[in-house]
Amino acid sequence: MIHFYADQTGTKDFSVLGGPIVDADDLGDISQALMEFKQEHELRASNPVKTAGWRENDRYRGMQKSLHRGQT
Amino acid sequence: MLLAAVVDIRVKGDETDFFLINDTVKRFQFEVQDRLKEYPDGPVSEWHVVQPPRKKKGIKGKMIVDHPGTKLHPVWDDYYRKAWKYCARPSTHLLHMDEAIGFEHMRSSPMLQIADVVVGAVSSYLRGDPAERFEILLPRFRRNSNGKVDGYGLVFDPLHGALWRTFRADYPTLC
Repeated sequence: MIHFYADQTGTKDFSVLGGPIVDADDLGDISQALMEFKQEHELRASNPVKTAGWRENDRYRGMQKSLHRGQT
Repeated sequence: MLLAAVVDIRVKGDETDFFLINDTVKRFQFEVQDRLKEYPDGPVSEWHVVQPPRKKKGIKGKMIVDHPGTKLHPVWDDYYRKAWKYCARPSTHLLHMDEAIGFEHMRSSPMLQIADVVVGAVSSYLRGDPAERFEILLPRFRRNSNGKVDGYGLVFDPLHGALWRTFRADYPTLC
């Protein structure tokens, strides 16, 4: 299986969709290399290199809060 | 290997997302076809059973995008299905593509974070910012045997539009 991971961004003039094409066999090695890079440069493991989607972060925080409330 | 499509919103309007998927998925299909040439016979079945045509070669491509949110999720799914069903011509028949698009969250997918870096570099170049990041990534974009990136790894829609002319003026050897 060959995977094409695509993300979207843009401005009011244009929109871009793109990303890497990787063989499924290489996914583990590439992911590990990225995680090691982040650790080396003290970037948070769960955060993208460039923090895209702050709304997503808010949503996750909301989910965590509701989970916490449910447990207690 | 990298692949990206750039669509001019001013021209394509509401259909921008559809054309983005349509342009990338076709090139991805070509890339899968190219890789198939490396394994012309495909994997040999353990039971020596004749494989159906679409699974004969044993390699398939799957497109995975960032989860756009619950409301946009079916819209993107629909665009992919349209590209898969209606936009396939004999020359670009999407035989080796998975039938459905995949969704993952950026936060839990390292590969989507790499995709974010790629589109960020392309976007900043087109905005007119310094093209350092873009030029680092440029040699890694998909290209043909003559080294052309335009139309292979980097697709501009509409073709020969304003964005394409900018790219051509900066990198004439890649067009």
